[in-house]
Amino acid sequence: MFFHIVLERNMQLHPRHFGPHLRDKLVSKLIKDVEGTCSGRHGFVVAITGVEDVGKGLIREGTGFVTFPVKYQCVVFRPFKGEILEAVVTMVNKMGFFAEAGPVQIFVSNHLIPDDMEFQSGDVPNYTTSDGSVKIQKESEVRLKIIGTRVDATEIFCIGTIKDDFLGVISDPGAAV
Amino acid sequence: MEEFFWVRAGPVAHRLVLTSVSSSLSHASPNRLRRPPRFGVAREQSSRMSGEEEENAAELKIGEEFLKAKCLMNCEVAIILEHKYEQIQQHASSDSDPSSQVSQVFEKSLQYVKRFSRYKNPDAVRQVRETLSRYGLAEFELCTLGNLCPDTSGEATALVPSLKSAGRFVGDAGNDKIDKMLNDLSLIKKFE
Repeated sequence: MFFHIVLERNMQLHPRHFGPHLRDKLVSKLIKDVEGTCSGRHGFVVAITGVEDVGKGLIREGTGFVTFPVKYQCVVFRPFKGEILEAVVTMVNKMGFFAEAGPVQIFVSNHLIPDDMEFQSGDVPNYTTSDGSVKIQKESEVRLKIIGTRVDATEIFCIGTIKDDFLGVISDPGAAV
Repeated sequence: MEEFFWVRAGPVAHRLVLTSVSSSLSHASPNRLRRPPRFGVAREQSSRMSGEEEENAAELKIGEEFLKAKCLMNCEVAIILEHKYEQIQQHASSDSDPSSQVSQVFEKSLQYVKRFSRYKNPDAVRQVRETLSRYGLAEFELCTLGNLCPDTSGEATALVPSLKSAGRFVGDAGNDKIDKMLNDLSLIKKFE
């Protein structure tokens, strides 16, 4: 789920930037430093939408750098256990399939794919029901439930399932043609 | 593939977090150490340890901070990101910077929300939020419903089990209320 939240960060600025454009410099540095990062607590920082407050700077001993506490609003993407969302399938193999929901990767193991769906290898590996009515392949859109999250220093991985009511394929690229 | 997935996310992740804790401590000024770091990595680690078991979006357990925060539906995010993307492009053309200046996270998110936006029109998006907010939903529930647009009350409660909690939508009357809510949503979609 995407959220709009307020975060705080201590920004260090070199004295050469002190001048009439100090705030601009601070904001552009903030965007450069923060956008695209990921933390386990807040998820992926997608975009900064505004700077609420720049606090008083504190000169650091020895270096001359100044630390400013900056409060900013941003759009974050944070997956939760138990959340249901839609995702695009990126890779299918006999172990299961990978899907992407925005910046986050979700793996759905073949144990968590309904039992009536079988893996079919070939040019376009896919999972298909015995009657061939439902097919999961690359670029399919699926609705899945996140059952586990694992946080890396710079990324969040999720484990998902489509073995539940109202989950599964929404549209597959083959049928759309 | 699966094995690789877990191995990479397992001990390596742990070690990475630990090293980042120690590095953040060594960089921290004494001033900062005395009060508890509000958004520091150290706190992040400990809160995750205790809170991870309890996290469950189906029961609306998503942590105090996110429960109070404003959730965004995919269509709202699409409006925000597209606006920002245009701004960046304008900037880039005048500075002769490549337009691929945006982060990968930004780009992936933009593609994702464009693909999964139920409502394209900003007015419709506003209407959806207004309509749903009349039913006393939590932010997270509101956005899940707005994103997934279930067709029936059965589907809605399966996707958002927390609807049935706190005695808001109990029994047949509750189901009728949910159906009415979903009907309102489909009308907005129809007249968009």
